Amino acid sequence: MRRGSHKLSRRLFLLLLYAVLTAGAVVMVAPFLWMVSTSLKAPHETFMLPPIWIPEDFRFENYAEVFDRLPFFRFLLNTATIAGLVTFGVLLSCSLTAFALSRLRFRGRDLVFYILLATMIIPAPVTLVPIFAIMRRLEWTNTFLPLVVPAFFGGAFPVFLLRQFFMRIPRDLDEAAVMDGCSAFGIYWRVILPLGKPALATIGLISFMGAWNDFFGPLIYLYSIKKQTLTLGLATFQGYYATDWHLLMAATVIVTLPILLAFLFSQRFFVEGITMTGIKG
Amino acid sequence: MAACGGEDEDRRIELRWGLWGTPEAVQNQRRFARDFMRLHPNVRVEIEPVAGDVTVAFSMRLAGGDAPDVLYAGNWFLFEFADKGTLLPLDDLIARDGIDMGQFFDSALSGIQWDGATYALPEAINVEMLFYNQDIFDRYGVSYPEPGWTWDDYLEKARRLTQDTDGDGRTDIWGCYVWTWIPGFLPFMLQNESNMFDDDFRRFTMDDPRAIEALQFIQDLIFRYRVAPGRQALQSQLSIDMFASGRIAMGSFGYWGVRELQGAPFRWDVAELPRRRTTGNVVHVHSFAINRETEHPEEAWELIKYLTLDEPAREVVYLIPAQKRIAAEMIRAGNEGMPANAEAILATATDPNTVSPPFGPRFGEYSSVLGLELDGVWLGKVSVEEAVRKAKPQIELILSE
Amino acid sequence: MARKHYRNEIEGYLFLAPQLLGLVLWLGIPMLAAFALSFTHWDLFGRPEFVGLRNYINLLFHDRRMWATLFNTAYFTAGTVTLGTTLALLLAAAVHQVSFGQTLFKSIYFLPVICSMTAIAALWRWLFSGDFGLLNLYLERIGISAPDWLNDTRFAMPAVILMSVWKGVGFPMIIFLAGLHDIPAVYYEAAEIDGADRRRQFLHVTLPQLSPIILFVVVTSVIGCFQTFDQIYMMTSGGPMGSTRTIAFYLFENAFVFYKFGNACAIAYVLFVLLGGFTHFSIRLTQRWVHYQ
Repeated sequence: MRRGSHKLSRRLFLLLLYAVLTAGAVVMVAPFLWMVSTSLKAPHETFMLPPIWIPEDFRFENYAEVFDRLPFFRFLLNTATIAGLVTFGVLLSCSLTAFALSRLRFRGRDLVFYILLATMIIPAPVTLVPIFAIMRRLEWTNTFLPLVVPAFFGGAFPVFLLRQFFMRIPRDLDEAAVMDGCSAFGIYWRVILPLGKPALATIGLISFMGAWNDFFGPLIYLYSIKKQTLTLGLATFQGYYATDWHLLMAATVIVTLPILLAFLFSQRFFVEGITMTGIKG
Repeated sequence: MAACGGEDEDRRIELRWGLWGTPEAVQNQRRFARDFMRLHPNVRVEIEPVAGDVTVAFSMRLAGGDAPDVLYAGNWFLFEFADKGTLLPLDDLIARDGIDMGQFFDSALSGIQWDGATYALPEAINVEMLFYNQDIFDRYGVSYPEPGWTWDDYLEKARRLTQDTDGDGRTDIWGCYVWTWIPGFLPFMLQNESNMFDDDFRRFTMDDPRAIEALQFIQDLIFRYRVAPGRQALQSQLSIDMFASGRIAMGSFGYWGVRELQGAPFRWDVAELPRRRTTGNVVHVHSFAINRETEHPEEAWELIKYLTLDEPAREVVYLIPAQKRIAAEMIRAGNEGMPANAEAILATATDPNTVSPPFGPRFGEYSSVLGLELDGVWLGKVSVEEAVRKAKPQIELILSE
Repeated sequence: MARKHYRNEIEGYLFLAPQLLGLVLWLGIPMLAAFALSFTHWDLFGRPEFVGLRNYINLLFHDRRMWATLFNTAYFTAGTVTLGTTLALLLAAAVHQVSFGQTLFKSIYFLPVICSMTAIAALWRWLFSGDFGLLNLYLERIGISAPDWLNDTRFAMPAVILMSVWKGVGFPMIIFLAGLHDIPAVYYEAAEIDGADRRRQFLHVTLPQLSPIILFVVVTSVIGCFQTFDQIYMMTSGGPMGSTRTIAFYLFENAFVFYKFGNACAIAYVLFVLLGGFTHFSIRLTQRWVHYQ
């Protein structure tokens, strides 16, 4: 009898959980549905009350208009190039750093780690002007370089996550590799990188997202329209006077969709990666 | 990137053109650049549109010595950059080429000239107009605004137009709408013969009784007579959408409203703003300026002349062309969508009391202080007197720095 | 630990070379430059003019706006971190319990994290609008009379907080899920044998086991929140009446709107010291109760 009621309460509890989670999921998704719905509306439908969730005609022309007004294909290509290079740079440089900080032992190692952590508390806007001056001196303005090159020089948060993950890889593997005559680089290349795939996927996606969504970097460094990115195109649609909401939302969908697909494809890897980093203070 | 096409090899001079605006304007300006290159085979024009924060992007580039040769400017930041010595004064070139500045609206000139120097050629202007929904006026038997109408007429109409259509105790149609930022409230101050600063730009004069009366009138529209929406007042963008959905009977919006309201499901027209002691209106001026450090001042000058005096001057979107003749032609052509009383737009643009707001150097900082104090007025939290009294020393300190 | 690490000084620094170079180039030099500039008046265009400690003295003793922004920042941080972390923890615990649809829930809650703030902020400005906002429309349908969020000094900050939590909750949730995954089942079995109900299990097993992760999430969120800029810049510009002006936004205004770059740098260093102090003390203090395995 007790066991039965226990089961029943377990069922009720689960039902309640599903109800709460579903309600929450609706709150999370509704703004996106509104975004897609608005992007397919005729201008006069956007402010109708009560709100229209399913437009009378699906106006796919809105999307054509966005591509017509600004070179969004070019923006897409540029954004993908930048985000791809940034991701590659972060993966390469941060895995090297994280490897050294987790698997090698040398003087000053922990100091470097703490300095790196401390850099997370530097407010970004203040370094904007000095870094701009450096980029200008290097004659890198109006190229992808100011956005891409720093990624090849490490970063605090990805290094932190990767270090946590690498520390959990059994050390016996290193020793076995040393027996086989591997150098430190050999351990990095043959042992740590292959085993670190889930964590690398996680870092990769985070970096890709960051570069894809970056607004201020492109605003400041990319002058020529041929070199600009999606977020800049999107910002142009937020009008100076009035906003054409249906076009703005169509542009938003165009910017969001690729990153959404990237996430859905890497989603399994991604969650697994964070799970396995097992962040501990 | 090196040019590798055969055609591009002759183009030894590269002009960088910094611009911004709606996607449609950017699209047009790309075309103008191509047309200009066709006329000037030795010049290659590189388009550099700025999305979002124009002033940040332009200041970084100007301060870093990496700015475009030609800059698209608005009067709300032109003088800040001129004051920092980054722009080429154009008076000598204007005199040399005998350009008749009288062909532009005087109000346009007020937005490009500072301390006796001219820093740009004007492309277009934008004045505030009163837009009104004729269907709502007819429904409640209110007569349309007439030339020479006054604040009293305005208030009286607004009171009769404010309606709670479904009887739930909440206003469904607002009689009027005033944007509570400088372009919204300054016309009222000008109409009452007051302004924000004295002529030397040293003294802050919004504590003048006439200025206070004007601001008080707007605050009263919201809180005393309850004929204007308080919510939304701080954001103009959604308010034109509110007008477009038939929930505001009269609203003052920029001329761009004409474009925005095409296809609206009701009849509407424009009128001059009401007057008090006199008329008064403000103008936004869009113009083209030249970077002082440009290596090609002659070509840059050719480009901005082309943009403001040649074909492109006829293809202004969203705004009123700065050339009087072109503006008149455009407005009188009675194109589809142009309101019946379009003549009022011309009358406003030529009115001597239609002027550029005091967007001087340091505008960024004093407008921030002013906005903060006035927010309290528009939210009904502080009196007009108190807000301007608190703003005055802070703003005069900024001007004296 | 008795086991020997692979030990080599030169190789260690070879691996670190890119990172160290990056630290110097993109952080060290700019931070030093900013430090030097914090003792000057500089309008970005002319020559910096040395003024000693004047910027710091002005900021700390004469600038009312500075204190207001500090308060706003603390408000935003407290609200976002408390609400965000609690919600993320509860969501993680809930998602961890269900098996069917777990991946779907995880993805859905993570969805806003991957979107650009530029896109999200415009959308939410609209959703929050008093007259057209869907939020108020639906709140009113269920009988809640809602304020005009972004135009009300009392509700603008809560609105920004709500939006930020909505946007960001997925990330700590995933991290907590990872932590929950790691708690050995035997602990729960033992608790069940002791007769602990779900609430007690959560309080006495889950929370202590997760405490290092909670610390991590709280510290990194506080650091992130103290630097909050994008939402403010894109949704409220600090208004109404300065009620949402955060310290990072004020720093930005000083640099690029007021053209007082020296001031901006001084603000950055005040912020830097505050955050450094916070991080140091929070780690010190919490080491007492955080449970390490």
